[in-house]
Amino acid sequence: MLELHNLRKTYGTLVAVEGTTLKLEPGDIFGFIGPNGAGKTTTIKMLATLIQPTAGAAFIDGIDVAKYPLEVRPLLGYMPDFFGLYDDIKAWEYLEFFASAYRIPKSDRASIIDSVLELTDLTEKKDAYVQSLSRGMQQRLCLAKCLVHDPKLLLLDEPASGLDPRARIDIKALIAELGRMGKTIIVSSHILPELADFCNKIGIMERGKMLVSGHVDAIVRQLQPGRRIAIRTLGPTNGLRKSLEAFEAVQTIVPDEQDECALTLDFHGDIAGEAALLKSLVDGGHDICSFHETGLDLEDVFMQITTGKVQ
Amino acid sequence: MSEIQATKGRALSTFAELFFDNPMMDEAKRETRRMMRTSATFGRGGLAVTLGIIVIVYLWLLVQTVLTHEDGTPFFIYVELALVTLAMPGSIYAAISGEREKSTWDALVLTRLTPAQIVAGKLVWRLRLLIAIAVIMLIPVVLCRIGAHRYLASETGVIVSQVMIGLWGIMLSSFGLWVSSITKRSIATLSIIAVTITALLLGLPVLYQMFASMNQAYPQAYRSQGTEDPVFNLMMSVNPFTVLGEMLGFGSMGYNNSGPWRDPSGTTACVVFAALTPMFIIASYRRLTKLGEPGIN
Repeated sequence: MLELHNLRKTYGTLVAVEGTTLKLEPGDIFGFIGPNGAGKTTTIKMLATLIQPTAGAAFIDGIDVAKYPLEVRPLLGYMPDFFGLYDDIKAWEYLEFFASAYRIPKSDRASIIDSVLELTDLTEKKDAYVQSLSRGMQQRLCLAKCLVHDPKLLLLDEPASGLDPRARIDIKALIAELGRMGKTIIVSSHILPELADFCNKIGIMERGKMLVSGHVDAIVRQLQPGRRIAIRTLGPTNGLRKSLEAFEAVQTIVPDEQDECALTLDFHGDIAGEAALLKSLVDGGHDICSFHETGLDLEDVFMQITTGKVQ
Repeated sequence: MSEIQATKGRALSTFAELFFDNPMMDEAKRETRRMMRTSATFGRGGLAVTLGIIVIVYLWLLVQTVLTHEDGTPFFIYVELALVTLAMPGSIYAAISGEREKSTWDALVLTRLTPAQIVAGKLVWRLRLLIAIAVIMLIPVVLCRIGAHRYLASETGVIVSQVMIGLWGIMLSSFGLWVSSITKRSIATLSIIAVTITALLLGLPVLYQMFASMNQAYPQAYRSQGTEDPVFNLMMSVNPFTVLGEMLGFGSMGYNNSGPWRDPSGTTACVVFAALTPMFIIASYRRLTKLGEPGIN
């Protein structure tokens, strides 16, 4: 669906995006993570045919974005980080304007508008003026506008910025629903928990470089080759630590600084080894009340990969 | 880039796409609502009073036109010209720069709208405004033609004046659209348009006269009794306000009718306005085509 090959953008001596390579399939929700100034927006704008790449190539549905921008545009829906809406127009009029601009036949427009309003939960606001909608509703209306022509690829640049917690949850649920509908979605954000819930793939970008990209699980596995196990006992973990040190597969043991009854360890073994470890601890007389795997979250991944330097 | 060049043909539209199924035509509805909303911020009472005063003055003028049997044609046509000169740039200056300012331009570019549709949509409702002004001001003119005991302006003068004002209004709109397409801020667009019109109508003739008098090159140029200077005469011939004065019987506005390139009939003005309009429209179209390509935004 989407392929980037060494996509590059420079402004004079400034390298905004350096050799980004990526491949996404239909239904993929790709979380584009990076600090401000990392090059996320520039990459998205290149895909949206608004900026010409300096080098490399991007293909949407097999069509070269740089060479055939007019052919690519109907395939994508683009929601910028700072979007503008027309004032003095009702929500349905706004959508009809864009339906007409995308040359959707007149006879189909009403039903399409109704369905995107329903999808974005704006049916009740159909006759409301755009300027009277809340920020969250305007955000959803902008997303509805991106959907009227049924694009295959959605480019959402910071779609949840400036929203209150409820509106954030709404927009996350909506993006997840669109992913289930088979649309390929690129969603950028620098708020990591925002993406963790619904992205199946992520890419971390810093100073114009895509540091890592791929399936979330694969990246976590790459950064954390072993399994991280959290154990909680009824009493202090001093004795437990001694027992654990005897196991070859147990690597780092990190006691919980705030809870003397808890610790975390890195275990280099398979799931059967994990079960054997638990059995031997219980057989050894340790009062285990909790034993479970914990993975890295996106924040851990991000902190491990990035240096924190901004261009 | 060669492929991009090859796809430029799609920038053209069919007649139906330009005028019947062109969403850009909806702008008139939005602008009217915006005007009403902005006016309403001063209070519904204030808006009603202002509109009431305008209507009363207009009706009073109509009544006076009928009762006095005087030919008020020159006055009404002058008002029409003044309104067109203010309303056309005032309505179009934010046409493109405003879209870019409000960040709505990218969304437009990504649709299947063609630059031709955008140009047509932006111009057509301004032309409707032009027609509305003409109709409102022509009602008293017609009454004058019916009821006046003596006519100050000839019928030919009235007709040519309408053609000239129409062309002037269309040219101002297309000029405004072009300036709007090459600027990023509406305030810059408005400033450029205002300065250009003021310079054309007032600044250049005055400065030219001052320059000529200082150099004594054309001593007659600053005299009120006319000039043989072709440049100055041309400036006066394409100034709709001076041409209108002569056309409608206000006299020569202080300048005689002689000399090369001096044309009080309005023909030169009409030809110049008619020639400049398509140039500005084509320039706007080319600029919008360029704005729609990657890399400009």
